[in-house]
Amino acid sequence: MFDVHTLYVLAGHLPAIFLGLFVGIFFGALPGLGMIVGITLLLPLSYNMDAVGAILMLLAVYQGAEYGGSISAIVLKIPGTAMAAPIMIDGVPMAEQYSPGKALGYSLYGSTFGGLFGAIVLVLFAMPIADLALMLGDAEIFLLGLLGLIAVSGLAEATLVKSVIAVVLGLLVGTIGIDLMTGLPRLTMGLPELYDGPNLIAVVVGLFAISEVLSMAAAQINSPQTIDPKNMRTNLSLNEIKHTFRAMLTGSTVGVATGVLPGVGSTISSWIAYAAAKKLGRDQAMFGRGAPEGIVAPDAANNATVGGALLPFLALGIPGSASIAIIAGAFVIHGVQPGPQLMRMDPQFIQDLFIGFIVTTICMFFMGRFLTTLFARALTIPRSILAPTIAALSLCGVYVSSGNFFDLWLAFGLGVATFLLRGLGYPIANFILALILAPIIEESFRRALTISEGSYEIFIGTPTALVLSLTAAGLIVGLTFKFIQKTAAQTRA
Amino acid sequence: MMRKFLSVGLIIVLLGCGESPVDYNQYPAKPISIIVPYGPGGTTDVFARAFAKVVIDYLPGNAPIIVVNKPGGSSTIGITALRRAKNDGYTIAMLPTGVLEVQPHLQRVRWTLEDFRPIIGLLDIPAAINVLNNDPLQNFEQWRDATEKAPGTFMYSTSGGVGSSTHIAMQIVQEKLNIKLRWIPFEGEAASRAALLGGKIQGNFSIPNVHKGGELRPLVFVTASKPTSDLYADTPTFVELGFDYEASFPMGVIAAKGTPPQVINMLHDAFKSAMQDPQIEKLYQTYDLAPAYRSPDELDLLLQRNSELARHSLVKLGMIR
Amino acid sequence: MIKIANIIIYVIFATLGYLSYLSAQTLPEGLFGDIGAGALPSALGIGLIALASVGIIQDIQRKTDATQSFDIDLKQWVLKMLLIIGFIGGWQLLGYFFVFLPLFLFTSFCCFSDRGIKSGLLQNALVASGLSVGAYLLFVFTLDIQFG
Repeated sequence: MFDVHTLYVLAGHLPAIFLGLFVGIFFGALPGLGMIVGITLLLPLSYNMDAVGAILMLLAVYQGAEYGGSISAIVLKIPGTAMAAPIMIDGVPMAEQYSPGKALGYSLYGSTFGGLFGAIVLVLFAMPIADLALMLGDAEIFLLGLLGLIAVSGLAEATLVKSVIAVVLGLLVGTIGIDLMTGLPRLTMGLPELYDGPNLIAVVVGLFAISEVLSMAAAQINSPQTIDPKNMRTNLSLNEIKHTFRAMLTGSTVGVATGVLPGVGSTISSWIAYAAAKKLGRDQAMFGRGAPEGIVAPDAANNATVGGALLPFLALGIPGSASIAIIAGAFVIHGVQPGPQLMRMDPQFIQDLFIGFIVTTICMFFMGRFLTTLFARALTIPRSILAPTIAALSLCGVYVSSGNFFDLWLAFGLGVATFLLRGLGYPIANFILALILAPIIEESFRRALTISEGSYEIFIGTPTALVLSLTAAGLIVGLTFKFIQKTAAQTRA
Repeated sequence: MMRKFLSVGLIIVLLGCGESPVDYNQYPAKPISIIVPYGPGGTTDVFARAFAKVVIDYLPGNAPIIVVNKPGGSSTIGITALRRAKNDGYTIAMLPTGVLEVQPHLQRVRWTLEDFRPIIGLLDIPAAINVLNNDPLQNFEQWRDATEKAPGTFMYSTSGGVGSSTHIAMQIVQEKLNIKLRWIPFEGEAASRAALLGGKIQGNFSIPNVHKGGELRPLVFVTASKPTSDLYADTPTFVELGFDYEASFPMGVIAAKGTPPQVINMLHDAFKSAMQDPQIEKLYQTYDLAPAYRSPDELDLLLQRNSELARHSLVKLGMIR
Repeated sequence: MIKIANIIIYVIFATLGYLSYLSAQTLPEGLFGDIGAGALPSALGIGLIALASVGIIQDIQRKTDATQSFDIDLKQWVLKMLLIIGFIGGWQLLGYFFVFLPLFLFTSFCCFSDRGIKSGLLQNALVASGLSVGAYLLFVFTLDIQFG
């Protein structure tokens, strides 16, 4: 596999990979400026590059941002990306008890492991797994999305009512726009800016950046915190790695699996990975109080989704996540059409891409070791400087994404609303997840019924669908039962 | 410090206010914005960026052409931005298929076809009724017989949702052939192609790709244009089979109504010359598409015809009265 | 306080649910076996009303609300909002992004500094203009993006 040609090609692409990683970690770490903004910003640069270099650079942004999001989750207590939210559950307590460096170390090792795992799975299973995903019908896709929603409703630490309200609101906002199947605008209030649904970047910036900036002002945390550079060393001992190996493996497996499924992105995978690691954990009481497994599992899952999401994209042309959908633009620009034909017709291209992808992950590890301390120094910046800068930069990002002032006001309005609702204990992650899943769930549900001509049998017709339906039903019954029990206990008390 | 800062700001403000009268011998004397009603990365965007680089060589002035992405609103936001901009020739837009022809009928926008002036037609995107390469249906006649025998069982998808120009074109095809197909909506081309590969639907209406080693084999081209490949020489077009309909999905450049005619002419000539530029020719080759030049009047006529056909179909679909 | 805020928000959600239910009723039936465009928004609207009702009942029954506290420094909060509104609004109405960007940054830096408005003016101005130049180099110079 490693012939002279490949090495030559790779050497030429290293600058692009490093640029992509830097932008990715940078944008991933800065709350609100997620990887999508980073990818969008680098896309124009890629016009002048060759296909493999351009795609590797954008994939490096994706990889880097998945790790970068954890840096701010642990150090700033703001998830830099929605995907990094579960990392806070154990990352923040660990940073407080031991040192941020320890938590970041677990995060980096988890990310690297997940990235490599995703890459290896991609190389080994590209064809067979893509065939498998092809077999899933709309009924199964719908049920998988539904399972994700039920899982997130039950997982949140907020009260069940608020948790479910956040999901319902997310779904509701997710239905805004022109309906695919009737061509009619829904809940758009006649605003053309909402025809394609609210701009996702504006929503994310409002939910995570603006609301945070507002609460920074409200909480008046002005005194600059100091970090000891010694505390930021992202070293792990062999024992520590061994201890979390199982959680890394669990997270990576979940990440690849959810990445492969179209539309089920890394947000859901990191939550599922967290839940799975908790279930399989040796010491469940430690979870939520700084368990290393609670950091490595979601981080491994985040980075494993990149490889996973590439699988159906390269093999079928279906992007497995929103970011891959944007990266698809780079393929189009260079006239490369992903699909089974690409695998057969241009094996050299695929080989360069795969090797470059593995190299990207390795580079991310070293860059993470080097840059993490640098980025963590963001904490020493006084909040009075940091908050306005985040606000201005993230609003810039919104403008760059659409060039529309409506989206800026949308981000601002959502930021204010989120600030208030978060104060009242509404989980924001539920909202964003439901928002992203809404079109997938609704369209696949309705399309399944269109194909079955209105017969609901399609949801239990195949063995896969039956198992998924039963699981979903079981979870709903279980959650309701738990809720009634808890309410009854509260009333008696 | 604060005062100094403000005064610097004021100077910048004042400098920006001095505007020179429009002199078309030096056109473009300032950057021309070309609006792309999509985000970066799609076909429309790629063509806009490639042309922006080349066209400037064929204009007297030397200010650059800047691509401005204005996505959203089913591409109406970009077109609305063009409508609102000054019609001095410094804002133009890349026109994708279906916006001007379809959107005004749905009464969601405040402009119509008449508010714009075409500059040039650059491209005709081909579209064929495709089946999987290993499908037993070998040609149009077999397919037609099969769909006549079992009406409403052939499931297909188009690249857009209800009321999109491809959906409308397939409504007209069914009308002309007097057959009934079942349309299954998908968000985006890739998802529908996967459903086709997975055997959940039987056909689609888009660009075939067997010439790239893909799985989509055309039965009949509904457009006059075909991808540039010998493989499709024998595939008939709808008109060749004797039907009275030819779908057309043009991509071109437009300006707002009232843009000075001499500017329209200058831009038209520059774009026309650019179409012969080696860089642009290579771009067409990359996409396996043939350049399809249309003069402003030709493009205008085509848009009007498409608009009338779309209105007719939308009435039939019950989306408008 | 929290109890009242909670109930107000529940009432707003219930109203939102009702409105989306109403607007979904105007959407027509779908084709073939499709449940139609209005089905999901209607269901979500009803769900929102139901959940808000449960929430209100729960909140009324709950005796103590010591579990939550939600303090806002109202003056700072309003100031911050006004600054952001001024930034976006000025930029939208007048253009000149690269005037408003350093202006917004500088004013915000000064207003929120715990050392009082007057101290560190020079440092704040330097950081604000440095960041603005950086933004200009990145967005306009390198990436050709036009700000209004």
